[in-house]
Amino acid sequence: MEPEVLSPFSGGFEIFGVLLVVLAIVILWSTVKIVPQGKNYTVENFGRYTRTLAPGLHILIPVMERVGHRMNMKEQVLDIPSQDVITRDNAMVRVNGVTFFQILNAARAAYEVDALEPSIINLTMTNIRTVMGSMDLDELLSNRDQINAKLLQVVDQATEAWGIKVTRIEIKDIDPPRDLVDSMARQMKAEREKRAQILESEGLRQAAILRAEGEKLAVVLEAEGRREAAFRDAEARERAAEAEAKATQLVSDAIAKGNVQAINYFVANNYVKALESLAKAPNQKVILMPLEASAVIGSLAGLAQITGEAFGGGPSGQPAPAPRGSVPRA
Amino acid sequence: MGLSEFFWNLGAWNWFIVAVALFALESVVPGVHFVWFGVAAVIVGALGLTLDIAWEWQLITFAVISCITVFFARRYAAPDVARSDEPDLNARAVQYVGRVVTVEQAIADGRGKVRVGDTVWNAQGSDAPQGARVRITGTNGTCLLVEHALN
Repeated sequence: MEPEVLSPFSGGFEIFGVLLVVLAIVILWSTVKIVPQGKNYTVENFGRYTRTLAPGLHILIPVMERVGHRMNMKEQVLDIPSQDVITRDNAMVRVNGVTFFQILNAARAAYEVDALEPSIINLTMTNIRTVMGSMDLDELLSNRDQINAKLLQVVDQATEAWGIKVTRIEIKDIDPPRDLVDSMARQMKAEREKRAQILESEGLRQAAILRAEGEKLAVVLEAEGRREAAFRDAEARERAAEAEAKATQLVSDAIAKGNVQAINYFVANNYVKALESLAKAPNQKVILMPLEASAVIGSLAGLAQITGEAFGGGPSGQPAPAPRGSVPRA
Repeated sequence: MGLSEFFWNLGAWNWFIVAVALFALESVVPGVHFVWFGVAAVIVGALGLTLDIAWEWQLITFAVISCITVFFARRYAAPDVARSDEPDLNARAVQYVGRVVTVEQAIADGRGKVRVGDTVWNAQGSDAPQGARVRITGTNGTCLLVEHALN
């Protein structure tokens, strides 16, 4: 409850009232601190660190206490700028990366190190040189995990005193110089060409083998075919011979049963035909061997005999069978 | 001059006008402490309507109440009142308490390293060989306190 007073000393009192309001504003401004989530404020009592303010509403002692540093407690990422690194096999590569870290102890990060971020960046850069300088280029390009792990171990150990935790260090780009990249590309190309050629010749070899096998098989099959054919031919000849033998047998049986002159007829017939064809031959070179007329006659005699037999007796090689019954001839 | 006359004649309502303006500012620009003055202005306005107080006293009252409201507000901002559903936010090490992890570098003389997620943390605790399973029980700055996991 404020007492009712009609201001008797209006001038000074008015000024005092206004000043009091201004003072209230200033005091509230400097002592009431609302710390947002993700930040920690350090408090200094006459310049000396006393405590850390967590997120929320805080009231400081006016005049004595003030906020020193406003630290970001979120995980932060720092770009590690590009730098030239010489590998163990004297290749010059450009390397850059990123570092993730988080402040765990705001007071240490605020007061133990001056300029936290540049310190982390420099520490990481020098350690990148150390780690990569002890490796060959090929290792460098293929063992990033190992490099990251080594870097993390060293940098994390070094920054522990600053109340921060380096969670991750990643190498982003490793750029060897242009000419080195070109020769690497050539090497890879040659490697692949070599593989392609080997595969091609493999293919050709396989094809040749298969072709030869095919040819071999074809020849074998052909031979088998010939063999089979020969077998069958032989069989056929055998059968033919058998048939001929049988035919001969039949003929000779027929002759045995009948008259030999029947054969003579056939033979003479053929003989005469042959003579005819010789005589007809248009070729003048055909030489007519002197024929023994007697042979022809002989064959004719054969004929005569046959006819004689046919017409009942007559001159013949064989004596004509005696006639049954003596019939006097006219 | 006419404008100041106008406001002068409004009397205690001026406080309410100021209060509304301050609340509006607070909601637009949070965290700049307009709210304390707003609350104080409402209280002084109410007093001014009921009692006849000289405006200088009103100013003094306003200044004092402004400071007092902060202490009242503090009770509502206290951690046990304004509970967070994520109390471990931004406290990475605290979030790991209770987790069972593997020893990366044997703990000897009470110090070693454990693998948590995809990174390695320093650990303090009873000696354990590499590959042993340990439970995180607490934190000490950038160090995790561990004990042997029984299971």
